Amino acid sequence: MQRVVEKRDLLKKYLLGELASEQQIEVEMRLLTDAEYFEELLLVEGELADDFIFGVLSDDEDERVRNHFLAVPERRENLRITKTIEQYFSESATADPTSHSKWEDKLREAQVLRQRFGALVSNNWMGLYLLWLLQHSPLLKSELTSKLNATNSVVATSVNRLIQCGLIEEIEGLLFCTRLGTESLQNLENIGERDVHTRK
Amino acid sequence: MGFEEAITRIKRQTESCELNILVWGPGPSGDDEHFAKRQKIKQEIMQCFRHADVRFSEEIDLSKILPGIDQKDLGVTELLHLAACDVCVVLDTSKGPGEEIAHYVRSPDAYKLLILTHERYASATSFPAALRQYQNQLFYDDHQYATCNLVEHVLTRITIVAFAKLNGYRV
Repeated sequence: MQRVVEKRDLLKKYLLGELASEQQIEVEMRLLTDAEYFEELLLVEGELADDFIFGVLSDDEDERVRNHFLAVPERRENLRITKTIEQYFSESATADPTSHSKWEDKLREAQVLRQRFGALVSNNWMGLYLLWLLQHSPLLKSELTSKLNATNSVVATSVNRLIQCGLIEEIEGLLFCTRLGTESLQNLENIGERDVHTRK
Repeated sequence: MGFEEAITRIKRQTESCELNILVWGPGPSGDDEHFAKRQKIKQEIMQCFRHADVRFSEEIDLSKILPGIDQKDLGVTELLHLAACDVCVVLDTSKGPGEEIAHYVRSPDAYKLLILTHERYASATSFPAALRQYQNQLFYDDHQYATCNLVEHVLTRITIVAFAKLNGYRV
């Protein structure tokens, strides 16, 4: 065990440029001929990168990593990847599972939006059709049913979903397109224009 | 432009939306029936969304664009897959796959998950309740599994995600 620690310590010093030139040549010669030793070097390299990212190195070691270890472009690239991954993990890990956390907020927001867009695509896009019809003038449910040539229950289901999402509202039997509904339709018109420009 | 034409145009745009879709679940070494279902889901998505890049997690090799990533453990790689995709369908047919993804469910990209779990595991699920509450985990029965119902559910979710993406939202 002691020898392993010593070996790793030596490799760490090698990576940080702390060895005398004779020792450095000795290590490099062994790295060229001993595959197991080279594997060990890669492990120490990874640990050093992790320690650097987590800020657990001494000031001197930190400076040596910056000036010596990261002089190799491939290590810089690997470190960049490790850093990105660690950041991603730390964001996930900091979320307290017992509290109303960020990831739950994202789940909720995504679900609200999915319900809104789902209401428009439901029943083979009938929701969107209904919203369009209501954009220009309020209509009764029965008028929608006759315009769409659909059954009462199908229209009622779509209407209810649109109401629940705040895209339309019902006042004294009349159905109106809300501001959110109008904005959603305007957004869709912009997509249409983008499509036309793309085709040009 | 009339309503029909306008809606047809939007449907076409939605179906040709560029999406990255992951399908997680049992591999070929496991139960053949479940792997076949996973393949079926993948094929159906590809047919309906012709510009979607639909992959099994094991088909993605990030080492060319992220040198060194292959030296990280599988969990890190799969977390990156989740970050890069628009929808991640998880066919949770047994206890195993559920446990594998248990550590992704609180990630910032958990909202992309569509976990399909057999109802017999409904009480044993180790996933947070929020996933069920916000429809990221759904339960199916044997009949739904055997018929096209399950696949239709997946296609509906992807249609919504694609339509939202066209509108500038990630859901």
